[in-house]
Amino acid sequence: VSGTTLYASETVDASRARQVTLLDLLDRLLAGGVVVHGKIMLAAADIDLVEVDLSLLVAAVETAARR
Amino acid sequence: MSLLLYAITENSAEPVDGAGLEQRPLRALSEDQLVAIVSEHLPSASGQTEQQLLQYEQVIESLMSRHAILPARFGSRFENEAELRAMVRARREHLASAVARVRGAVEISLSASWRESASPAAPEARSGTAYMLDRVEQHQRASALALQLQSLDEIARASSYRLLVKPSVPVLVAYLVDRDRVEDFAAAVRTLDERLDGVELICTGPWPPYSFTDGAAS
Repeated sequence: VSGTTLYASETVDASRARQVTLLDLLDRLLAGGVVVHGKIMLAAADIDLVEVDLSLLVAAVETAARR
Repeated sequence: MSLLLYAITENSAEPVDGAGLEQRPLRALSEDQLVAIVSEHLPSASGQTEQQLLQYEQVIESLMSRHAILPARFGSRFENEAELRAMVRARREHLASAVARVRGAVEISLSASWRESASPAAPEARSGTAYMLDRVEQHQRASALALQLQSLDEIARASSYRLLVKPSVPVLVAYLVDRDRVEDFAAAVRTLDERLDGVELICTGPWPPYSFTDGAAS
């Protein structure tokens, strides 16, 4: 994946910057993109996402589910 | 077989090749000057995994390197070709203008948060009124912070602001930026960060233009 941390304030440690980068990707995959009339397969069940803020992920999945 | 949609693009001389999820070959379905990029899968495709999310992103990025694309939301499936073609026809004008808008551009994300996390008082200790007042104050602070980021809009083709996605992230912005201006944008974020007091910025990308597929952002 080409997306990376382009810039982070000095007070942001590397692990948090990585988490935010991963969340940015998940947020886009699950809640962004062209919304079509087809069916959306949800991606929650088998994902083992450690160290990420699950509240944001759950919000993204819920958004996808409503579409 | 059902169709998994990866992206919508425009007719071009550049062929669509390569593989999608499960190493299924990518196909290009032309419909009214637009092209839907898909792969065929069994209707009862297995559950999705983190690995498949990353593979999907890699497919999208590979397509984006050669085409102007609107990425589809992960897991967008159609029962058959006719259903997909009907969707493209019905939204042709909208999709075509959106493809033109993202041509040559990538998406960049910027999250802005307070350096010292101002966590609200414990919910049980506050009345409903206090909670609402607190929310109003948080929203006002987030709006004020968003205004401080607006100089970055000058470098971007478009931007989309989200306030208070969660309390610790008062402002989350997606920018549509010319592919060759990504470094300029990152430098501008650094310059802005040096001017802001008590704020942390994290800028990520470049991403496919997931946030600029509906033409609604400004």
